[in-house]
Amino acid sequence: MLINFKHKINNTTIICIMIFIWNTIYMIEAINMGSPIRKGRVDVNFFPIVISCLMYLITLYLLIDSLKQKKEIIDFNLTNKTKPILIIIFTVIYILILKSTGYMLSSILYIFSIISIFDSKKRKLYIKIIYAVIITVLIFLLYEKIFAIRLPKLGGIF
Amino acid sequence: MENIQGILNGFVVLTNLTIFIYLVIGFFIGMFFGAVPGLTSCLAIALILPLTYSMDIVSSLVMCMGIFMAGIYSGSITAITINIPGAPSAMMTALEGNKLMQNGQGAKALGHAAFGSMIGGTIGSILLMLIAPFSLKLALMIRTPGKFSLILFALVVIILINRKSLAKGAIATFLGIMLATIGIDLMKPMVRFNFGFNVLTEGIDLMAVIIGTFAVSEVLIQAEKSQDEVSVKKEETEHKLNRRDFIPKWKDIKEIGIVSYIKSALIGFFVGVLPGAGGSMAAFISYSEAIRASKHPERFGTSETVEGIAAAETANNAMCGGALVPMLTFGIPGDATTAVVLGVLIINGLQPGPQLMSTQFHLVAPMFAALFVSALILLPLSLFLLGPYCIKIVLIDRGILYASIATVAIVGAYVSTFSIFQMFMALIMGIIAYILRKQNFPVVCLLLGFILGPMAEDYFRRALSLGHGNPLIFFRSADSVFFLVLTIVFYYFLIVRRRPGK
Repeated sequence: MLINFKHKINNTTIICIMIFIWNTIYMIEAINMGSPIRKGRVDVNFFPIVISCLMYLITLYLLIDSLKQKKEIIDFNLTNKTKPILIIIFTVIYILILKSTGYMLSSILYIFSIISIFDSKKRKLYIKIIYAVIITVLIFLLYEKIFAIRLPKLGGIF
Repeated sequence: MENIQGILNGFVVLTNLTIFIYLVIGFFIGMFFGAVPGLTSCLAIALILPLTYSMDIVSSLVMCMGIFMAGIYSGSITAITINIPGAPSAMMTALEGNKLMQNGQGAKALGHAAFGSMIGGTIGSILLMLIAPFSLKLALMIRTPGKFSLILFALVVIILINRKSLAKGAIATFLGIMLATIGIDLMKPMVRFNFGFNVLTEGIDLMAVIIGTFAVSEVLIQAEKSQDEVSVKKEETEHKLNRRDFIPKWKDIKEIGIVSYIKSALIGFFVGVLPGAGGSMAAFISYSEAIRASKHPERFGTSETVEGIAAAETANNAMCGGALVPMLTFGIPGDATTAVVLGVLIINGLQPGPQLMSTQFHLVAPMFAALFVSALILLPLSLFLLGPYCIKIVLIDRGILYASIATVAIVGAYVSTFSIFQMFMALIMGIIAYILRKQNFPVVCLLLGFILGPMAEDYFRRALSLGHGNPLIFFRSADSVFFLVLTIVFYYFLIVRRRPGK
């Protein structure tokens, strides 16, 4: 497959490193706010600094623990991640076009793409389009007609 | 007397046809989400959350109660019939339930699961009605330092409950707390943790966190699964179930024993009261206790008894009432579903806690009544009417199902915030939750940290202000000391006394 890392990486270790980086950015931001105690009173960054310190301790503990567990190393295989990645990409596009193209058109395209990603029966194209239209209309009726919540419309109509 | 009147008024509210219809709709939504493996009542409430903006608050809460009760119960249907628990809390039910199904006694197993759920749900609701007013009196006695210690206790218990990996539970909780600090400070008009991005000034909306954590992450998880992994063969769902066999026989009920039902309900209720525990733990503890107390423990896990089903199902439905006690009286959710119900209250401008229970009891009482009616009437009725067809739910096309969920989730994030940024936050939270879930980090802890974090910080800073910066203030008031000691007691019982191998 296109994306298939043969290297064996412990996933918990990767998450620990990611959290460690996030925590460091968070801690720097908290420290940049100034002294956590001013005039004998705790300031806006005191509590976040405490939480960040605790986060360091726990992440370090989990990191060491994950490094010890070499026997449980898992293949970091991105092959089966293709579908979630596609869903994320389509969702980003959907969010970006929802307001400008209106609910109907953008949702039909989005639902069609999600159905296609999940489709294992290799359905015919028109069947997937019919499903996408039906679901879009049903959700539209739920929001607009039953709960009177306005959805974005293309040119104020569709 | 005032409380009894208030609760009776709650039942009167349910006689309003519109509100009752919302309860029934909620119940069937819950049944559907509970029965489909991968979907939960929590996800169902997360998806209807944006709709509650345009609904009457009582109708919203009543609907949530229907979803909650039905979602916990209906997980047993697929657990028994095809050995795939629809909800995690039905895991113990599958042990004997599916054996009975294979033995041609599926209807009997389903009948006992529904009967146990009915008893558990009803007792849980009654206990909720009895205990909530008293816990309100206790809540009113707690002062600011005590409130911080109480939330600290809740956060520690949420972490300790994840005994498989305390560190993962703690990381998820701290991450939730950190994310909640993004935006304008609670006490000072000052922006913090926006990392130089102006869009982060508005902070992350609770709605975006709930939708991302439960809906978006679920769609991503399901997309990763191969069809073979999740598909149920049509033949597996073609068992014939006779409605008459759903009614449990008195002989079996007598064998299980009334005391056993009550004990399981009490276990479920009090496990529910614990923050972060939930239905799975209630069912597990109750099942273990049933084995310990049984005259025939060797029959558990076989098709010779329904004691295990009764214990697990009674407990997990009794949990529903228990989980509402800390949420309503202290603003601390007992499990993931009540955390989302808490979201319903917050986004509708209600602050759970003593104020809500004392001044707006007329909004809360119908919830109690809805839980009771769902358990006592809707639950057995739904099995009788729909039981033979529920098994077919699992055949629903995954593409259609998850495309609908993804769209409702994203559109829901839009209509509740009208902010493209919050829609992106829902997606980002979904991706974070997806990565964490893949490595068995409990995302419920993340949500509870996000909800409880700001409360903890608020009371922490207020208490220190009252104590002129002296942290000893947390050891000077009896209520605060009580919760700090309780935290140590829980640590002792959940961790020290139950080390692996012991």
